[in-house]
Amino acid sequence: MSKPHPLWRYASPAHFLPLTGRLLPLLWGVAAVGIAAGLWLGLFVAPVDAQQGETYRILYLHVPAAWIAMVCYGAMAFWALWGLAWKTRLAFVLMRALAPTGTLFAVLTLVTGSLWGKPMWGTWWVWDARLTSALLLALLYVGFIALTSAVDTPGDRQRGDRAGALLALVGALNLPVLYFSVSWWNTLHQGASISPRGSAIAPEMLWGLLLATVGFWAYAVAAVLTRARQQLQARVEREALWPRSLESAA
Amino acid sequence: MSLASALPSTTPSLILQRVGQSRGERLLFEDVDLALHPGQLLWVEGANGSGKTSLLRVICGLSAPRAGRVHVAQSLLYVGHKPGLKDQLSVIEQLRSSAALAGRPCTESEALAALAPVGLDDAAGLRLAQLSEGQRRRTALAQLWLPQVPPLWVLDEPLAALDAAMAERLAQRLDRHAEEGGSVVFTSHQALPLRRPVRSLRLGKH
Amino acid sequence: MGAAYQAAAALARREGLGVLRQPAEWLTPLAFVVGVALMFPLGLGPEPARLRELAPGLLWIAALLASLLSLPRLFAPDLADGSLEQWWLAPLPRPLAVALKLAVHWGFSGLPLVLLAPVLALAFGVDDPLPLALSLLLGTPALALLGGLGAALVLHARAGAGLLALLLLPLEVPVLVFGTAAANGGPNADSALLLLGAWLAVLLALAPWATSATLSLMLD
Repeated sequence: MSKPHPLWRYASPAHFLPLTGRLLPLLWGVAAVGIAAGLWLGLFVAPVDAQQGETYRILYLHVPAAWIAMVCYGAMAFWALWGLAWKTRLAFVLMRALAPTGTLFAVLTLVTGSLWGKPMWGTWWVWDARLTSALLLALLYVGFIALTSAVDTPGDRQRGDRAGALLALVGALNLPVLYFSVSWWNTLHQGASISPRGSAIAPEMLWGLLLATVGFWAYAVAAVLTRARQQLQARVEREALWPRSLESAA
Repeated sequence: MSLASALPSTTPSLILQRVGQSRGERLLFEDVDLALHPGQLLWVEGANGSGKTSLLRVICGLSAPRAGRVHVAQSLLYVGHKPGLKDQLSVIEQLRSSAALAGRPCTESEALAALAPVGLDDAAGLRLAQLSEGQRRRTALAQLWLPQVPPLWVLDEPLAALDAAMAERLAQRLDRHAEEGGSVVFTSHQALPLRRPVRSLRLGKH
Repeated sequence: MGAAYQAAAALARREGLGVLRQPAEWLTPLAFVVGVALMFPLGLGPEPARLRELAPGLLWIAALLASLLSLPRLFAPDLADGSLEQWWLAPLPRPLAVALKLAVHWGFSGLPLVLLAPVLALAFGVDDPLPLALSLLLGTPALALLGGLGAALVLHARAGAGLLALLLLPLEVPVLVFGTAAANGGPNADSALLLLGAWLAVLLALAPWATSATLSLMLD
């Protein structure tokens, strides 16, 4: 049998926990700096936009949030597939750890989208393709969390892992069709659409957006890894309660 | 009565190699090695929760074992703890349906003939919902008396809800099946009144 | 192949008899749709023009919700009494077993809707209910296929029905969007029907396989 790839050793808690333990302070640091600097630049330094006034500033939250929400779902589906194929515990732990963060950013996308749109359309919500898709994504996340918690039994997370993984995969495969159908539906009914284009981007705006984006990404990764560490610890501890071999139980 | 295909008694009908199974994070059993030959009866024993049903499910291919491999040489018949009884079907419909679902359909007269040893031939038209637990269990077991039966039988607690006379008839049927070259794996809390020698596999704490 | 055919026929027969002998199973979705259709004028006002305009979409929504009703009992009883394990052991490809079961289920709950909904549409003053019927003819099987997958996922979950709705509604959006566009008639109806048909074909190919993989994992 050939030697497994060296990266595989990170699948074991003995390596995963120390590695992430070292990475996390760095990530939190980057998150804090990035978000603070980005928001400061965006909220206070960047000039008022010619067309959209003050409200465009909400994009500093909305754009990164939307991306992170989508990528988190893709990552969940990736780890779901990995877990089903190779049955490593860490894959399922990462999959589950991504869900709450993804939900947070999906909801943030909705809220910021609504806040951005209110001054423009006069209503708190409009059923355009992007916002509706974001709402569906949020529902997919909530569904995942609901399913895994409904299937889990105390002491046995295996069924919840599998059901959740299958749901994440089915959802991920459905997403392209979902986006397509929603945007098709939108063009059918000539709805309003939000697209934050129009004016040229001032340098402060751009820097602010970039810094905020990096900061939010770092936050997302840090949050996910922190949660993953906790869950992995908990699973390892639960396993230690059962005898590893039957002889020792006699 | 004929077996679907008889193996020479030197070829095992079932092989388990270092089979292990866990439920969630709890280890049930490990390193189970076994070769069962035609004509042999195997009694899987162990306390409640020791994984007897799980072992049977691994043998049938319903669950994948956490470790080890299972080789089944021929087709098998599984009568589990919950044997797939549908309340809305009548006794004879249930019997014929189970047989057909397993790919071994039987005629109405063959089904009636199989219901006689279990004492249900005059209840053949009754819906299962109207029967007692013992009668329902006997409906599930009636498959064993059909003309076409596979060589390997896997039975989970076949004595449940049966009286002594029925247990005796079941044991006779199992003995005859083994004489004809078939093999049986079963779990049971009580001993079956079998005449042929019975191998034993004990799961759980040694 | 004889054994597989016998097993398939036995499965279809068993499912059919089971549903037929429990009238509540297939009457309930129909009664539900009629009941919901009754709520529309009561809730929205009896103005004929508005009802005529909204009817196809509303009936589609009613059909979608009705399809969710019988799902919790699709696989759960089979798991509970052990019949799921019997088909798993049958000499029948598992995706085919799933597809057969869903087909019988659709035959009793989806197909009657295809016939009932246009009648209701006429009651709402819709002149031509044929687009609605066609869209439901393609749409209800798609809903059944997705529903089967959802039912398999929640097999071990506590509190089935609400959870099922939460899981399935996002997944059923494409069916709803294409279906209602086709049902409303007009210039986009043809392309909507084509899209719906294409999506149904994809689901027919993938959903039974995904559902049987899910059931295998849930049985383990």
